[in-house]
Amino acid sequence: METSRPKTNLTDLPPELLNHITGYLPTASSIASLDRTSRSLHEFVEKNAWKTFTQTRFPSTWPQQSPSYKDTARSLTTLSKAWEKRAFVGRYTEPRGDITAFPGGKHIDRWKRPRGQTIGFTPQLDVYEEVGGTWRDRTEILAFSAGAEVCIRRTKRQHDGTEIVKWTTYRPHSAAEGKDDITALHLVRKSEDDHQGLLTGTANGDLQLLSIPRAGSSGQDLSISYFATNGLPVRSTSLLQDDNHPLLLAANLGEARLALYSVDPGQPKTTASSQVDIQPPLRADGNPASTHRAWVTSFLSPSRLGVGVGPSEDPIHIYTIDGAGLYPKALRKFSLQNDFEKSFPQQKTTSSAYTIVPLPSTVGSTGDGNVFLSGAYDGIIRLHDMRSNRDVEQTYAADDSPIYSLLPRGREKLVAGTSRHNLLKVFDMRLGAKCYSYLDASPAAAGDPGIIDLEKDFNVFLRPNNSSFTVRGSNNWSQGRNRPTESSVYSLASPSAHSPYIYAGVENAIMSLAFTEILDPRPDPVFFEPWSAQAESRPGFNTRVIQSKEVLGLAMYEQGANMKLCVQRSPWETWRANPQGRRNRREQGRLDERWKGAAEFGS
Amino acid sequence: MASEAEQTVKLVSSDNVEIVTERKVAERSMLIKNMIEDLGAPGEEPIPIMNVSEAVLRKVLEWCTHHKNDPAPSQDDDADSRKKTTDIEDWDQKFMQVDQEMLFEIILAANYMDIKALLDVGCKTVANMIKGKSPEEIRKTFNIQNDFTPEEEDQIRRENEWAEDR
Repeated sequence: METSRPKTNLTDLPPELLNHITGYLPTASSIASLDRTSRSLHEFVEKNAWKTFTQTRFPSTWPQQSPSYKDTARSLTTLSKAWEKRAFVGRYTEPRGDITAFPGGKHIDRWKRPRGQTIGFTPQLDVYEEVGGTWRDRTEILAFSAGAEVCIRRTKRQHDGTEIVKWTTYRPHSAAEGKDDITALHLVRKSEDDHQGLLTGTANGDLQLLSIPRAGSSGQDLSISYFATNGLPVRSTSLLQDDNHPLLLAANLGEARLALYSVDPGQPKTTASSQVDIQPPLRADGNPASTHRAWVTSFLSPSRLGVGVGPSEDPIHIYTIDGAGLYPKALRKFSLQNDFEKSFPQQKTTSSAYTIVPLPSTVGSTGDGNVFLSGAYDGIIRLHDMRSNRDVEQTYAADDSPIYSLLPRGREKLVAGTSRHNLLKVFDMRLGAKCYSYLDASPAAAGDPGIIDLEKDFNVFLRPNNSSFTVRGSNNWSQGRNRPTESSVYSLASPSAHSPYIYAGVENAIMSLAFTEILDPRPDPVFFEPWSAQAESRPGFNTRVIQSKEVLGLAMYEQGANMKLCVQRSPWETWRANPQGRRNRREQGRLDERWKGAAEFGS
Repeated sequence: MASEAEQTVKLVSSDNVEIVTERKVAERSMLIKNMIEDLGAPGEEPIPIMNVSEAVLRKVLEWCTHHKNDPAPSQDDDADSRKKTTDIEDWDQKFMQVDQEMLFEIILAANYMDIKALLDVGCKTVANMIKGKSPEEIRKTFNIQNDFTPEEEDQIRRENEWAEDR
């Protein structure tokens, strides 16, 4: 025995080779098995394997820093599974509980929604989260506009499971509903400890940076710095928040102006550092098109702005920013036609681009700004690439409903808000990489011929489907009779690429979608507790425990040929209908147990 | 002077066995390719492959011979979707049907000799032996000693329970 070399074994491989092997393991369950084989492999898994798994399987959503990649892997796999199963919980979000109202900084018991408008408000929204000392310690800050008012919610989740939610609202004394409605809103990510920075623009031409005292902080003074707009209404803004660049604000003012401001909270008033008036295209009679507007502006990178205009044959303009500010001539204009459509030159398409968003790169940052998405009046979402000479790389066709808002989830899913029927559309992007799928972990489910492959894309109606939906013990305006049944999905936001929450602004309300399975006995502990009748009847308010009475029953249908409608059961009904769901091992289908009509799905 | 295609090189294994092979075959190894470029006069000086025994080196060269005409890997191979799938082509699968010691020796040699494609195939083979197995099955497959106390193992089991179905 002493004469020959010991046999080489798996445990003899150096960590970099074990890591290489880990890169080919597709599921968390295989990493977890390896974790339990021996001490040396356990040490390797804790140190390296979870990170490698996360990085390899979630190339566009993994966080580049994490206090625990094992917890991160749990969050990301659990979230991916919920998305694949279309498991989400829709609820309305509105100020309640601990509310501090500004100006004045008084505590109020009940928030009143804005009055005096014939139609409900059009919410603008923004949200971000910060991860603290452990993966479970995190603070989420959500802001939205309700007419002329802004509402800010700060949710502090702690590793011990406690949660602190505080609301702050601000409504200028002189604000008139309609006239002073907020049309643009951004949270300043790097705010001071006791104040939250918030940038707002209004229909009345106010563009300002608010510094609002955080609830519970000693600071009581709300300060405002102004940006000069010459009274032009603010149509859209974009705020560059990049660790390596100073804050930069771009705004669409009036019909055609694009203005750039450097943001310095110390300055009481800032004028545009540079501006460009986008010229409308000329009509056949030689006059400029009178309906032409610059609808939206969006930073694609620190040096590039995408501007959506229209109606136009080239509704996307790219402007560059250098040391001297905005370069007055567009670097490039994109039409909405792909090469095939271009082969019919007599059929020129005229449309308007209403939303433009950069596509996150694979490393989780905002990328270089070369690849971006646009949503247009014609109801089509398009992928564009600055490096290509084509105008359109890829289309995600919807129906004829104009696209108002876009939210890419890494490079995995694309969520789009449309102008009609509260319709939210979800597309599978999966650009490039072979990503994670929970089905790899349950060979039984994957191989079962009884399980029909789902279409990859689906549509959700962001309104309670069930007319018998009753609100028990709730006097919240958002759940009462005042809810419009027909709305656009105006705005979409999510705190991070790995958060289960998506927020949508519909007429007169904010809806949150929490991607989680109600019957999952082991949901992501960062955000949820396992649901049970006992858990939800415990006293105290905590969004980790989903309360049945708040949960909306939503409806969805597949994007493909089969347009059969599915409707969500209430948590109670789901629980009762799935006695096996109460045990740890569930008989799992491809769709969340909440969907009614799921049995006939795909037939 | 012989043309590059016909050139041969002399490799010396860790157990001092000289193996003559086509330069093109040997240059699947970036280590050897770089050494040849540094030495300047291929074929004359024997090239020592210090960490690889004759048996393993012959096996590695067998793989290199079969794959000598493969196109060079492209720059953005890392972003390539195929990188993460564990599909292995038939010839490679048969090639990898060796005892475990040889399998790990091939992986170590491919790593040392810098033959990325062979390293990938080796690691995929091992990953396929791990996939879908319980800890006990993995221990059996690789003859790994369970050196946890029952309490330790139980604690890890509980911590990882969530991963069962995902």
